[in-house]
Amino acid sequence: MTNEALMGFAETRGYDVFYLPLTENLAITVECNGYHVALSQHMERAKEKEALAHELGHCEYGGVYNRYSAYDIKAKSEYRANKWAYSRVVPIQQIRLAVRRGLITTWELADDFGVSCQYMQQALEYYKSIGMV
Amino acid sequence: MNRIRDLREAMGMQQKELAIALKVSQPTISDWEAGRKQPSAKSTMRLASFFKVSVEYLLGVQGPSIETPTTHANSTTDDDIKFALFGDVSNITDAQFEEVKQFARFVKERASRDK
Repeated sequence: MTNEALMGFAETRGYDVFYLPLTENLAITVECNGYHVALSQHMERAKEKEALAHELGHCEYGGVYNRYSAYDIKAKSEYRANKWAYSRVVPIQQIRLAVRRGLITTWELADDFGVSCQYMQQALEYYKSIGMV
Repeated sequence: MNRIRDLREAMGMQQKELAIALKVSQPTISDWEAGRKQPSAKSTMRLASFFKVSVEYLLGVQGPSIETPTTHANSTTDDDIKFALFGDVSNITDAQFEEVKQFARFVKERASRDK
């Protein structure tokens, strides 16, 4: 999914997305009569895609916590948000097709999918952890 | 060991996926979850590591949230804000949480203006 497609998805689902001058966080999701997402105005396009997809994962799973939630609660929410984001931004089926097209290095795949190398690496590690790679 | 099932389901994983991640068979996961067999000490530690919980929690001798909102009876309503962040959440700083509160206020003010 492109950044624009993710924004369209958010609109369809009724999630507000704001571009704000955040200084301490890259992205925030708040649950308050629905889900509201704040994105830092200072992110590059690839990072914005990763952050928006991740936050939409939180919205879709209802995975939010409060400041005093235990780490395992937060970690589970983050895992599920990442899982949703990977399935939309770097789906394993499309990665396989890209590999068949000759894109075999992490940076080639990252460039093709419009994400950072680090993000692609994390996604591949996730897929490997569940036996899909 | 129903906590294995709870944790697995909370992560949206299938038994097969967990089995692959832990390099055990799916029937083994099923046996653990149903209480038909107990995981070995080594497997228990691997489970705890995988789910990022303590062994005590996995064994059911400790609640999941040592610090919950109910233990903070004197906290302000800001502490009850439901939120999520992008990135490392292992140590949310005061500055990060202050920005969360600012955004929550922004959302509430905007909602009240739109009424």
